Amino acid sequence: MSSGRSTRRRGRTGPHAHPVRRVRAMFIASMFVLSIFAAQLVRIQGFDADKVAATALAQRLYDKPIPALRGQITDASGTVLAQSVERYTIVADQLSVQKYTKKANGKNTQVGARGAADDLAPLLGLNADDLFLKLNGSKRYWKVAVDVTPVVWRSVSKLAVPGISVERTTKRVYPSGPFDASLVGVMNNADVPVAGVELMADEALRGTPGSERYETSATGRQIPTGNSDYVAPVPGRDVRLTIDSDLQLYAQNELAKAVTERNALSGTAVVMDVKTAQLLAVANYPTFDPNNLANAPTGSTLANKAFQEAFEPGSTAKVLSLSAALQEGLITPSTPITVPSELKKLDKTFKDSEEHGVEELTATGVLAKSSNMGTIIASDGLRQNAKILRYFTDFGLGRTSGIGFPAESAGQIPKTLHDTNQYTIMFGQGLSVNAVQAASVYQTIANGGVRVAPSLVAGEAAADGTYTPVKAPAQQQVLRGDVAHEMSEMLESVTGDDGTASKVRVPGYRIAGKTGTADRYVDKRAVDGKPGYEGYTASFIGYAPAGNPRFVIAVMLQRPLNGHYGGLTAGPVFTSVMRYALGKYGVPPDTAPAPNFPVWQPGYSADHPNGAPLPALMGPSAARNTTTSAGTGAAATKSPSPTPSTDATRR
Amino acid sequence: MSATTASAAPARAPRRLPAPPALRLVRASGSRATRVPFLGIAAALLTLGLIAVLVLNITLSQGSYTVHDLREKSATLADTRTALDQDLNTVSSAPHLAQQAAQLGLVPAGSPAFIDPATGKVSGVAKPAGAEGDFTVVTGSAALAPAGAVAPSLASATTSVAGLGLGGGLLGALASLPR
Repeated sequence: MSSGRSTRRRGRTGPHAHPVRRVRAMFIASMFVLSIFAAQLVRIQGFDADKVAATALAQRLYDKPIPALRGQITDASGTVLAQSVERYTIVADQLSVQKYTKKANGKNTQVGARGAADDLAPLLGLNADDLFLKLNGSKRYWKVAVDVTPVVWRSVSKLAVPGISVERTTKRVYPSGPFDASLVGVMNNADVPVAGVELMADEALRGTPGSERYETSATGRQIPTGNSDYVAPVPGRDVRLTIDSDLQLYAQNELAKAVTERNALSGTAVVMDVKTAQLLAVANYPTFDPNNLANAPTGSTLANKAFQEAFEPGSTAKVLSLSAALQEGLITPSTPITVPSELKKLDKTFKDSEEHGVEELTATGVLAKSSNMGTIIASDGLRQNAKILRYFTDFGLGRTSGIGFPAESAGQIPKTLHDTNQYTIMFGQGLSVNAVQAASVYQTIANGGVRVAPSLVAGEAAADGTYTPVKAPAQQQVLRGDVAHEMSEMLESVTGDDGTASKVRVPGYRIAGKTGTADRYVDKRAVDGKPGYEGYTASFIGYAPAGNPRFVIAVMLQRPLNGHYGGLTAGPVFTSVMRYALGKYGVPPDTAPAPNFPVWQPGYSADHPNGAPLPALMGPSAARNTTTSAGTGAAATKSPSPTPSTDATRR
Repeated sequence: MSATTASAAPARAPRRLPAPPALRLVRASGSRATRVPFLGIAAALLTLGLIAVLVLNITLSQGSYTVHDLREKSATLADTRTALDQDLNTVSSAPHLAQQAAQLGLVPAGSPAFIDPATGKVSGVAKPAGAEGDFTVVTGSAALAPAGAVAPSLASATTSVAGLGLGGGLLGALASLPR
């Protein structure tokens, strides 16, 4: 201390003070200053380091998400049904746009927003005056144009208008528009899938978004030497469907015409490959336009009713009970079944769709004429131990298809047999199915009794081109081969001269199929607002060529007002689509003649209507194993039926 | 301390060395003449080096201009390709093809007949094209929903069953979202 004071004194007295003391003093002074620095340094770097660094970094860091390109949805042959395209949103900093200058006649003139609007309008395909209003002003961020293609943006950026920048977006485009919309689905305006395959296969389609994080300067430019972090996005996988887009178009088109012509509420048509159970077309009408969701007309819907709407199948389900009866040995195709004019079971009186007297049909005739009472009699033995319910389950009823389609309906089958439902389920009332399940039942019969689980997705292709087919669907032998064959031959009688679908013909081909005209269950009837039956579900399900089946087609019209019989309303759609499918795939015609099982019992003539056949042929007939209560119906007293669907029209 | 420093100087003792040989003048002949070529060479090397660097820089920057141009061109071509791909997908979609075909007056093929080349047997019933009637593609809003064909008496049933077509509740409600 004393030396310090003496140094200062000496320093004042002259320039040549003691150098050692001077050095020491300066050393101490600078140590003092430095220690303040050091303390501050320790505070900033040590105690507050994390906070300060984080604040600074947060000011500089910029996170930029990089969206992954969504995969395509294609049909079986690779035709694109949905694809994502790169688009740009053009954004203006209106203050900067004012500084837009152009070189004219060798000197720069400031043309501002007006000039920019004139230059940009033809490139963007916008009106120059409208564009001027968007560019003129003092906003620092203003959207000028959306959905600009990369090609257009490139030409816009060449003009180098100050303050014009872009944000990258993607847009989902559906080249087929409404024709497969109900199946493919759609993305909403927030880029979230809301329906169809878009929703079902979202995990594969969407990919993994990447990110870019870098430090920016105060003016927003990237600092070249700063921290940067880039995670490349993984593009989504392409999903290939089993759909044939040509067939889809044709079916959708025919269905739209039929629904409109028949004044029906809605309609579905399902085309399925018999061997693989792959869905080749799933048409729904009404539908929607995925490229223009905002302007959907009244009645337009996102629903895919082929998967999502369960309805009571009616007569098309008679193949279930009759196939089961064949397999259980209760009937053969030619088993005589005498059908009374009405049939009383428990407290219900059953009738057929048209009044008739006692008819002497065969089991084949019961199917061809679609007799409710005949079906009850023929399948009576299936009520034992609720055998019929096991067949329903085996045929895929009461559970979803396994495709995983969004909001797919499983349909309903009764858990036990009780009351009159033990009779009505035999002819397809009191249970519900969706169109794909219904088609699957006929696929089973057409495929020699082997049910193959329906499929919609064929495989997925990754961005590098590797294609992974989905694993083969489950198979189950539901009917014996000979039983399926017999049932198939019985089904051909439906399209025969005596059948309910005698107009469903494709020249050169034999068609096996079944009409359905079911009572339609609604939650609220127009008459009284109560749940009950109102209107009909008209359907035709069948396959061709019957000798070597290729396609199953199921057509359903809900509540047609202009005609309601399945053969009349749904039949023509089936015929048209089947003819197109057979022609398109070059399916060779049937060469063998139709089996032609007799519809009537030997000696019985249909020319004696109203139950006045020859006396010799009357009396109890020998419907094998099934005639327990067949004759009792005639004396039945008619009671008002609180439960609907017992005496309504079905064919 | 300062005393020690001050007394350090006399510590060096003079040393006695043997007498050196007599000094004599050496002629520095020719030194001026040899420096000129050296400087010339150095200057030339320097100039050449600078020129080489300049040329190298020009070449490199020229190359980077070319690279930039080619990158630009490549990106433009890639964008064009994507746009064309998309156009192609649109025009090769089934509805577009069907409508174009119908406009050109094409009709769907009738049902075909088949000839077995082995036996010469003909199977199937051939029909001329167009025999099945006119084929039209439903377009516009009619392709989405029938134009108000619901009978008034059944209108309420329609609403309850299908939610005016927006069946499935959740899915239907999303249809009305603006896009």
